[in-house]
Amino acid sequence: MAGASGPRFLFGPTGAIRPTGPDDLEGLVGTFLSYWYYYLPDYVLAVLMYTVLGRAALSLFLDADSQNYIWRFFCRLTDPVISAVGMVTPKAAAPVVLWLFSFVWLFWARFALRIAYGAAGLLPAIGGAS
Amino acid sequence: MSRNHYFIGIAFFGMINGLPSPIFEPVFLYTLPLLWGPLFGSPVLIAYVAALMLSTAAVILAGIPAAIYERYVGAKDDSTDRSLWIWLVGTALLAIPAAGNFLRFGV
Repeated sequence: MAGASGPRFLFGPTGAIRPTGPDDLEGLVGTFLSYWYYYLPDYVLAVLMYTVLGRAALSLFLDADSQNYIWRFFCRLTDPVISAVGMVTPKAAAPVVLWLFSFVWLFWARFALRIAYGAAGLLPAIGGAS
Repeated sequence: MSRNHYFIGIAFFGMINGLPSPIFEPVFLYTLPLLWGPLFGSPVLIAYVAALMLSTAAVILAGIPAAIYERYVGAKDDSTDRSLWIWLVGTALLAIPAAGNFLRFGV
C-alpha cells in the first residue's frame, strides 16, 4: 500500500472519501480498524493470492505428494480456490498453469473489490487524515 | 491443427490484450495501489504486471466457454480439439478491441 509519498492522484476527491474526525484512531492500525470492511476481505484475498504464487514457486522444488509441512499447508489453504478455478478452466491447462490462473483470478477479485468500494466512496484516503 | 498451434494462437491473442488494450490505462491506475508495496513502488514494473494481468484475464475469460463445453460433452481427462478451438476463437474475439493499437504501435 502506498505511503505518504504514494500515488494520491488515484483516489477520488476528498468528498468521496469517508470523512474522519479528530476522534478517529490514528496510524496504520487505526486506518485498518476504521476501514476493516475493506481491509479484511482484501487481506484474505491477498493471503490466498500470494499463497497460490508460493505454491507455484514451491512446486519447482517439491513433488506433488511431498510431505513438507509448508507445502501441505499451502495446498490445504489454496485447494478450494484452485478447484473452483478448475471448473471454469479447460482441462488442457497444466496444474501449474491452473495455479497461476488462480493467482490472476484472485488479483481481479481484489481489483473488483477496490473498484466497488471506491465507487461507494468507502475507500480510505492513502496518506491522508485517517 | 496440432495442440501446440492452438496454444501459440491463444498466447498470441492474449499478448495483444496486454499493453495495446484500450482499458490498459485505467487498469494500470487501479493496479498501482494494489501492487505498490509488493513491486517496490516501481510504476514501470507495475505497468508490465498490469499488462500481464490483462493478457491473462483475456485467456482465462475465453477459456470459460471452452470449459463449459467440455463439461457439456463430458470430456474427462483432457480438452478436445473443438474446445481448444472455442478457446482460440474466444481469445481472438476478446483481442479485437486491442487490435487497432496493436497494429499501430505493436506490443
